[in-house]
Amino acid sequence: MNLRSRWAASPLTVRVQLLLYAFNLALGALWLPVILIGPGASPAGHRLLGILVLFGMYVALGVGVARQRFPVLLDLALVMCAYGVACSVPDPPDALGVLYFALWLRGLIGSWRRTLIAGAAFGAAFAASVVTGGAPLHRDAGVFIPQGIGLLAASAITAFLRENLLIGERSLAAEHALAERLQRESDFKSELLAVMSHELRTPLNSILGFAEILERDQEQLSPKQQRYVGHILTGGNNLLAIVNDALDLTEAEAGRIQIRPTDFLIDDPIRDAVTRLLPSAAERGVTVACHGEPMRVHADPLRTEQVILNLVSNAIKFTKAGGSVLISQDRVAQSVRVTVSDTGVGIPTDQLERIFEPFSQVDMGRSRTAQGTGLGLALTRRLVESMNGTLSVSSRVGEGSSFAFSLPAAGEQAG
Amino acid sequence: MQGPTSEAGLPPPRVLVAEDRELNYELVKDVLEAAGWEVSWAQDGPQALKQLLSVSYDLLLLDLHMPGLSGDQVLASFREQSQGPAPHVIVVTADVLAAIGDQLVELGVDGVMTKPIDLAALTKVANAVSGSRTRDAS
Repeated sequence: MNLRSRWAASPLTVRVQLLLYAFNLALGALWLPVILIGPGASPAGHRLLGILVLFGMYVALGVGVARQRFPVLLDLALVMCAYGVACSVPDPPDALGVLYFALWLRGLIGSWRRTLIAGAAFGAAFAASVVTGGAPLHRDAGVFIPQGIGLLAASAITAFLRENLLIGERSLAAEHALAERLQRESDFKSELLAVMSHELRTPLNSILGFAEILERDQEQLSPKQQRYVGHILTGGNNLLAIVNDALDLTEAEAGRIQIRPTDFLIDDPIRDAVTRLLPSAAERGVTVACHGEPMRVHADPLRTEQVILNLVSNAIKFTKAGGSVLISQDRVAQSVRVTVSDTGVGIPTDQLERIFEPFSQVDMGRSRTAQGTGLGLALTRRLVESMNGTLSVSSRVGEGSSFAFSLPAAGEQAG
Repeated sequence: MQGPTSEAGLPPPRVLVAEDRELNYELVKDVLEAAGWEVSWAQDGPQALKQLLSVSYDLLLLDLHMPGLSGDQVLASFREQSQGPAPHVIVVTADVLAAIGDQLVELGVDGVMTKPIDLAALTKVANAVSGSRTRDAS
């Protein structure tokens, strides 16, 4: 790659650095004879120091340009400019002017920290030039130092203000972009789930439908075949429950779950849910009982039944034969509280909050002891919350768990 | 032919199943034929519309996602083009989000069933439709 095409391919920042570098090289070439053999040349040791400082900076600048590290390099280049010019001009005020311009530029384009660093570097460069006798600034030290410090402070403050204003704008834009990305991802997730739900339901239609037809004509099947058909139906229905819960949960997370609130007796969905679950409770040898005064709530009756079904079926699932599940309701302030307590296995304290996260059925050793989607409680909490209620749990390992949810009492909700 | 309605001297009730997947059709056909229905099949949207316009059905089981025309488009076109009696319409879809939305209510369908289809519920609905037909005729 030749020099011309390299120049054309370089970004503006690199071009500025290269120009500054060339400028410094030229200045150094002009200045070296002056400090070495010119009139008023400094003592030999000081001259050597000056040369070393200068060439150290050139090397640093060259390496920086090659690696395209712009901000540090610009500082160095500016220092070199100011130093070179200050050492070359005969009149101290001109040298100060160059320094001031360089600092002003630094404050304009750089961060406040870098402006302060550049100021310190300028100070060091001028100190070096004074020591080596390159610039007669020591005569004006009383003016130069306060002015330089004042200017440095002003530049740093300018840089600080600009930087913070700019960063403010930048972070706003970044936040906006992030929100957009999250929205896109969330939309994608919902869409994926909706499509998955659709695609899973179609084969399930065949699996469950034809298995059901086989079950209707049981007398034509051998006992073994009958049992297998039962397994197909159980497995298929479990899969369907997962598909339903996953879709419901996604919709609930996205705040799109349909809630149609009305006033109704909380006893109705409790009775319906218990009626539906009694056969499976009897099968497991678990008794289910309800008690409490009739109470009216303001919520979505179907979703409320879904909540109760989830909690009671969970309670039955985690209770051993001979145990019991109790559903009770009471009035707490402006809410009706429904408590589902069992005499089951219980939940370790450290897992109590985790159980409301999706796919987090409490591990009892390595194997899950009970079948479930792992989505039920996450969904249940979401459903209760979307009806302006709360869901909480208390439990003792080996003694049982108690889930309580509250819903607004009828006639108490705002509006 | 052994359904409850044939005893009333009526021809068997007719149902059109608009459904692009053969297995889904076969399942519904099995159940409805056992309930005494004459079952026809349309494999895509345009075919469903054509059959709806040429034959008088008592019941239409309508899938939403079909090639050619979607279920709701079929229904809208049929309502536009037909002056004759309209069948009862039950949307049968795996698209649960569409099933719970309000757009189907606006379309004026008689019911929505989601897949996997509840065969007992389907039989019940079919019996209700054929039962109402007997009553209308007498």
